[in-house]
Amino acid sequence: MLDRRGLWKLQAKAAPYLFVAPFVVLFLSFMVYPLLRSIMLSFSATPAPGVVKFTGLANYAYLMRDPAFWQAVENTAIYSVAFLSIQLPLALLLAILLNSKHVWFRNFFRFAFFSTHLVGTVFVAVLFTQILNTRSGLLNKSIGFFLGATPQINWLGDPVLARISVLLAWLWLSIGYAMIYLLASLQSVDQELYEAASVDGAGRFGQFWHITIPGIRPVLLFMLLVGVIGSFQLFELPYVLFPGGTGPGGADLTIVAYLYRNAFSAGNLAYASAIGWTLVLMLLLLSALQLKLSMRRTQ
Amino acid sequence: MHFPLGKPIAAMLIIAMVTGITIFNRPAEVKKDMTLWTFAESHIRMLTGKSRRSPDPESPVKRFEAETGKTLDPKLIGSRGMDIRLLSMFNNPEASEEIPDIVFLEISGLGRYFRAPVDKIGLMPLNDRLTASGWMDQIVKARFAPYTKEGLIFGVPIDLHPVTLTYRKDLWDEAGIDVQSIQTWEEFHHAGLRFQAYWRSRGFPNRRAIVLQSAGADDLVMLLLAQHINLVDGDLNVHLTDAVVVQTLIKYARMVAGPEQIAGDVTTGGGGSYRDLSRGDLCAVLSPDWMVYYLHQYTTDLNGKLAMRPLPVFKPGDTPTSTWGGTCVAIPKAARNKDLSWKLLEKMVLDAESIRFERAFSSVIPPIRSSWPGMRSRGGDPLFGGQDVTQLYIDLADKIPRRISTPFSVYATARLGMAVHEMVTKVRDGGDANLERYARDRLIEAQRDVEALIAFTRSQEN
Repeated sequence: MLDRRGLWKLQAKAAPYLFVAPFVVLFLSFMVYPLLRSIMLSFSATPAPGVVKFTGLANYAYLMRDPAFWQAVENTAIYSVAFLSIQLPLALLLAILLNSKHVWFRNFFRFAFFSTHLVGTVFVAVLFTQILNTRSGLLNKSIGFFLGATPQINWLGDPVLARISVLLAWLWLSIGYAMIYLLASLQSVDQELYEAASVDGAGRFGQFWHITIPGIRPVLLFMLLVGVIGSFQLFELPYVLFPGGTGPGGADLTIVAYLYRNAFSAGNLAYASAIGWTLVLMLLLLSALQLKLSMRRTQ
Repeated sequence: MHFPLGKPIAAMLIIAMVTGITIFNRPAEVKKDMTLWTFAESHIRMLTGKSRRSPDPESPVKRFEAETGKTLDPKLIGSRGMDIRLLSMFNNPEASEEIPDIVFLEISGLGRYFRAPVDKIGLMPLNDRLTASGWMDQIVKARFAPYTKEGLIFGVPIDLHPVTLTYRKDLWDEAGIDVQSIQTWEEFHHAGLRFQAYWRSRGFPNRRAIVLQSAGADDLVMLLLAQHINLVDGDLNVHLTDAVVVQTLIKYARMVAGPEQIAGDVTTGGGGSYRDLSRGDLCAVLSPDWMVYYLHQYTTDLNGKLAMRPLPVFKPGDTPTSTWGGTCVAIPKAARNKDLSWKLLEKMVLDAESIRFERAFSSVIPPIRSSWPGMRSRGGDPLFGGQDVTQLYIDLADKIPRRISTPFSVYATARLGMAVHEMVTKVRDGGDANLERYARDRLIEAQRDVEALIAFTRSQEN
């Protein structure tokens, strides 16, 4: 029998485990278990409801020669590179502008730019279908204002323009979000460094290059990493912009869209799991590469 | 009053408590005896009248409840959500908390349920019940095709969706073109060019003859169906490289792009083709029967300015119509009381009185022949200048082509859509030379991809 002192000791030992237990149970049930099941599923076939047959690497082997998958990878990579190479510089530019004491109504602008992130992807997609409307959209009408006649540019019907449209909507949605991170990071750069550099005769660009960029580098790298992961998971925006997977020339086909299509349109959960785990592998590789490059540079 | 964690946290706690108490005290929803799932609001309207919460006393739902003493809950579930819920339910029926007694399924998504061998499909075969009740002989045979696998019928069609051509009669007439006299798509193409030239000379350079999509294959698939081509047939043979497909693709690409373009894409956003027709931007549209209801809703300004005719054909032997969309009603194998489910199905979509009631909320022609005589409108349709468009759809109803649903039809259509895009780009860039060879090469690639997917899927089944 445990005496009072022993019980006290036991509860002191057990308490931390009891406190984390609810989270651990939920995490194991709804995260780890489904993930493990999906790994097993990716090595199987699901030819009928409730029937799972082990097929080894067959799903992955087919994936490697599946042209639709490679088109999805190509699309995703294009979106990712284009998005990050525009989003980060623009967000940084905005952050620098809105960090300046010379800008009036800074807080209003900060909120205005960030507010796009609050409205949600589906709303933005619906909004952009109206803006990009061929015959009466705001964008074509605005172009028409300068040209004298409204051009009938089919933004969502041409494969190249459709990709640009997705990118536009995505940037509109996310630049403010990145800007807030960078703004916070800019404010943490030691102001004395600028003063010292100024005394040493460094110009604006020199200060930016040698003080600002190194100062916000960790946040920049973080944004890049999060951006790569986020862009490889692009799904809702093209999904709503092109209802029913009707993007011109497959412009809407991203890796996650292809996964969804296989899982819930074709009902092939096993193949969809293989796509999911291939995506995880790609992201791991990209993240590792990115971290390695950034660490080498730091050293 | 001072709160140690600060005002914002205090406010959040108060909101959480108030919300929690409200939710806790909310009266529990009374569980109905039977459930019906559908993906379309129009179905709910047809089955209940104006309101789902308090159905019309004459509605099929209320009449079923009165006859059986069972309460019925018609549930509207988004089609994508329904896909996920049904697939989960079929995979693990024992774990499913709620199994609908009947379910409305959309034609294009059926393939996913038909992947399994017939004995493993999560829906109940209905051949025996259809035969015993006599419905088998009353329903248009061709319409069973999409809902059939290896001779077993898994869904009862509720529509036919014959397709016609609706056009702006006022604008075509003014251009001096009699659309009704056109026989073939070739003639329509030439007429469209004359129509556009006329309006261009009068200051309407962007006015196009017809709505056809330049970046997808749904419209083209409809035109192929009218030529009795299913991209993937019931034996899973792929027909993308058939000569008819090659030739139709070339003609289609020339209609939607290049110097002889007569078609435009539908406007994105709400309203779509109705807005285009109304504004006179696109002056004809492929129109299935369901579209008439919406034309009445959105193009009231066109009263008397529209007209309708059967589809032109590509060659003799083609059918002057096609079919666009469709719904069947099915009974899940796991349904609790299959006899009652069948009774519900009959009452909702086959019963003559229900069909009469539903007519007020829809322009859809039912697949039951005996219901057609009562549908003819008196005095015609004022939107169409008094033309009896219902009669036109009824005349075409028995001519709709057989449409087949396979697990690979959606992929084949998507792959054809890519070929359409490539062809349209080629024609737009002025590459008219070797067009036939180019089209055939694109379709060979598409066929190879679809066949590879079929082979892979079959290898997994064995």
